[in-house]
Amino acid sequence: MKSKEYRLWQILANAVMLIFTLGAIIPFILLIIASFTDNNWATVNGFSFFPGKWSVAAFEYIAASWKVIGKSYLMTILVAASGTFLSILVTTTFAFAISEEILPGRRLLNFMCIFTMLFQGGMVASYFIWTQVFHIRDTVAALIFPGLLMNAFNVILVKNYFTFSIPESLKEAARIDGAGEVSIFVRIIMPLSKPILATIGLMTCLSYWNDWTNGLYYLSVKNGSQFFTIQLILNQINENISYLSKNASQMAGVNIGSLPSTTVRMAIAVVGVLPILVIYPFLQKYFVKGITLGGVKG
Amino acid sequence: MKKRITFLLLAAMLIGSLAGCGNNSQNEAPGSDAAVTQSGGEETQTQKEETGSVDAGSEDIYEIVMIIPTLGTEPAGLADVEEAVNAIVEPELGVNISLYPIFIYDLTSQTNLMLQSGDKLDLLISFVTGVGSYVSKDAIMPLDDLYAQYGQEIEKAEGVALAGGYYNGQLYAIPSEEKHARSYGFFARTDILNELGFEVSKDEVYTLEDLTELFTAYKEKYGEGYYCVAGTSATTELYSNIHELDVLGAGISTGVLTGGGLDGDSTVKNLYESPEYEAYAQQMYEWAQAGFFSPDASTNTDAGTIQVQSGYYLGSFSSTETDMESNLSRDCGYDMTAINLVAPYASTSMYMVSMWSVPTNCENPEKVFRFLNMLYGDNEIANILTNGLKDVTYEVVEEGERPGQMVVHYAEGVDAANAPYIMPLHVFGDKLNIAVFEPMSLDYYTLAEEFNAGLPDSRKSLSLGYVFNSESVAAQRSAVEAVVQQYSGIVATGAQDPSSVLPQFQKALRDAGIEDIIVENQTQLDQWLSEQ
Amino acid sequence: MAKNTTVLLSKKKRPWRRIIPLYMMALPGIIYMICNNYLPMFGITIAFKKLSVAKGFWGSDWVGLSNFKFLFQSNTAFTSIRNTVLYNVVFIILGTVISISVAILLNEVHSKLASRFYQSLILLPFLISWVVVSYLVYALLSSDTGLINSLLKSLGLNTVNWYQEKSYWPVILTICHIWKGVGYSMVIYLSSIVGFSQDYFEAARIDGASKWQQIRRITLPLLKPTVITMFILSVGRIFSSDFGLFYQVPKNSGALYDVTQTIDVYVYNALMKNSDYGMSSAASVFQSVVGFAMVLAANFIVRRYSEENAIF
Repeated sequence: MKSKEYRLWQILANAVMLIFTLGAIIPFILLIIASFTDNNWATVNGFSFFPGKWSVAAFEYIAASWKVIGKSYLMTILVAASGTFLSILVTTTFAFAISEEILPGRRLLNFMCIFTMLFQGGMVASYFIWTQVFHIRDTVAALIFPGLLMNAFNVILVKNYFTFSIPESLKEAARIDGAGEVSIFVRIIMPLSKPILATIGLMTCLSYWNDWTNGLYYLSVKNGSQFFTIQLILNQINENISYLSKNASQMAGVNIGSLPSTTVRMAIAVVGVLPILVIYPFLQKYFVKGITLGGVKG
Repeated sequence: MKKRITFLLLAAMLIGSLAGCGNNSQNEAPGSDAAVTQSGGEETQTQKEETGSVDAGSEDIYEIVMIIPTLGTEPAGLADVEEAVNAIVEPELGVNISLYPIFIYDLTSQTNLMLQSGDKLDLLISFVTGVGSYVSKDAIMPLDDLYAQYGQEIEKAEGVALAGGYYNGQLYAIPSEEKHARSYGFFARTDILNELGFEVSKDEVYTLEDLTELFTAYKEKYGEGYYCVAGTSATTELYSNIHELDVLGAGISTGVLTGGGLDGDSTVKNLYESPEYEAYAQQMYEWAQAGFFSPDASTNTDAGTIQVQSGYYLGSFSSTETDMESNLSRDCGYDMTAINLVAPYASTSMYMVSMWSVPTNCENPEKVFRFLNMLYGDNEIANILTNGLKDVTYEVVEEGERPGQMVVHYAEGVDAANAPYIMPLHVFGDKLNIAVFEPMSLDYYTLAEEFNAGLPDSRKSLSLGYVFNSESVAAQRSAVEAVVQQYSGIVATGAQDPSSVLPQFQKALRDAGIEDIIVENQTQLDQWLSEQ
Repeated sequence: MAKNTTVLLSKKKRPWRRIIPLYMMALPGIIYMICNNYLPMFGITIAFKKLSVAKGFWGSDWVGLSNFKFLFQSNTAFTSIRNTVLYNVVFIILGTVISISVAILLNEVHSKLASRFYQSLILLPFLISWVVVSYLVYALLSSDTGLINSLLKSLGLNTVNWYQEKSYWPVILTICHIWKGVGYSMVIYLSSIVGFSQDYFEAARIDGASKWQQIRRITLPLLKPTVITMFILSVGRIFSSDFGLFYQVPKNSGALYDVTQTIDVYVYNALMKNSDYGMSSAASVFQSVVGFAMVLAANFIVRRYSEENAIF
């Protein structure tokens, strides 16, 4: 009985997952094929799984600009790594503090946190504060601090996890043994929080990886271009080209042909995605099945 | 041991949180007055300033921060160009130029941010948008007095084109426009024209029927998968390539003079309700039915030149004066011939393409304006700023009369993608003072001057110098703009039957308040005319 | 349920030994919130002002609600509001159901290798930007050269000019949204599921419960807090939309606006030529105020039924 049910579920689960996975992969394969398609052919025939003409011109272009693209790659990795690390630090400590019921003012802090999700001052005000008050223009800090370091959504997730998934009895036992709050945090809470840490770590890392608005506002072409990230570069290429196409009538002095073609943009998109694909499988081991609560009765 | 760890952890967090917010030792400026000019912005810019020649902090040398719109990569040779320009302007004016490149698509929004936050900025450029929104924010200053006093070179270079810089009766911007008029039409591939047996003369003005003849012949010869009109998109507007149109310094959606202001008629009209527009919509639909437009024409995002390059398109609509033919031929990779549909004429919006303004918070507008004036003078500055340095970016093939006028080609190993400094958006100074790239020749300069000189007064719109101020109808304008974004591409590419889509379009416009805008525009125009 | 049992303290004496380190821990977060969110809060006033560069932020004139006018100026504006809300309702419901189902099924997959494989790949769409997605969709739906039309042609059916026919697009956009987001949103549910104590499932198995019963009786109830939290938070964003999805994917085709234009796209189109900070700020204040009201309402309702799940 049981094993038949078990097999049924395995088939169901694997089938559904396979469908979703294929649905995710197939367009990505199209993307890869598109980056190997000859651009002139693509202009006329659109992108397809079986291009009439193959070409590695897109990747040659990337290789030629490797200095720029390679540097932005490193920058993106650096920013994502340090940003994620700092973010986890700030978020978990804050979430832990407001998850403890004895903290006076806890509900106020909680509300303050959620309020930030609902009302924002807007781009102009943020720009003003970050550049005129904190002077982060053209620094690496501009990519890490504005907007992404701690957000209320992550705080809520972590706080909920601490509240619902970590038994008070463990903390009590430690307190009886004389441990301070910080010690409890480091020795008990953190090790048990691997799933949620992996979750917000992933989400934060992705938001840093995909972000280009910070670079757009706070890095100038003249003094900040060494900090450009890969998404920023891709975005700029796309926006420049689309602007030129829209205003073509005023732009006849410009040789649009010298700008990267659609296939190059596809190639850059592929290149931008690769590191995440490589790192993600390693993060998954933290979504460990089953946390045993040995050592504490009841 | 436990206590030590705890202590270290707390210390680390404290330090981390302090580093997080105030990571500069600079005193935090009181967040209050954004109008204060000497704010943090200057520090980040001047610190990185090069041109070791002069100490930027000294009293005599004034630093001018000038925005330049750029495409693609950051120019590696920026410092050298600044040095070269400073070598010319410093002894004469006592100023140092600091170039601030901004990507073209982001130009307006970055400029606005900088202005609103009080960054140091001395010269800003408005590209195609006009100065209306800057003036309504009190962001730029009127230049009438400065122009009267120091604008001699500008007057020589721009002449009638200066009309583009006026707004609310004052001069707010200096245009950089070498063409005093534009003509419009359709560019077709020369080889196909020859193949189909069509003779095209540059001096004649053709009609839409002539084009239809050409397109039909093309379609007959080539058939499926080949299309006539490239370069369309979701927001294309082809009407102005076919008829004279005066947009009164604003846009089509804010009211136009359908005769182009050339026939003495000063009635501001809603173009979208006019019989001419309905005829145009019908024509485009017929063309789409006949297969002259691709079925995806209204969702296309490729540039027209790239489409023509692929070999499946006949050509595109464009303006057709002076250098357009060689520009398009170069970009399309095929020789293109201009089929004129509209003879050259002049209206204010043609002079508003690239205009320079001075922000209200500029500290030394006098020096800034004198520099601007120099830019239009008979010297190398405009050329350096546009094309970079001789023998670095380009090599001279043949020199012309004035300094800067010459035929050049790229230097050894240099091309458009890796040039140390090249600004393909020609926005500086007197554009007849800059070099032209092969295969153009020195004839271009004489051609351009003849073109300008040969424009009769009868082809100048009666509204030259008038720009519509839409502040009081801003909400309607935004709403109308959203409607135009939705429908203009559909009509231009004949994607749907105008008998159903045009009434929808017209109604949506009325709902959005276009009639208020027209009335306001007419009132302002009448008043302006009475003051002339 | 791993619920906290509150340690009862006498009101007279607070355990400062515990409270002070907690405050120290919260400090970085508090400082950051102030710097990043509360200092720029003055930006909300921009919605009610006519900004002037010369006068700066604080000196600019107040103009009441006139910046909000353009949001209600025409039918197009109302349509965009309607579209935003409708799409969000569908996205929230469908998205939650699908994400939870996928998370549960993924958790059931026995082979660790297969599991990691699926999990990595299903995240892929999230990493591709909307502009690139719009090209891929265009490759499918282009009238002339698109894969779908080619398929239809080869089957002898009529082709469809996809970018001109608006009736298909609510479905198309929903599919795109789910496709892009499921790998990401399921992660949250997955991490919750993985954290459930296995003891409950053990006990249920011993008692002879089927897998389906286990899911219904253990997994889903245990997920309730997470689902409720996510729901309240999504409701707060009910007047906002993903700009990339609604602007890039339909390729800005005018024929589709009636069903694809949301508030954010409308604001973008309206303010393209005239970048007025006052108006764009008014739009986001409008979205925020409505969102805030919705969150309060949702939180209030949740509080009535299960207090511990309300977020404040």
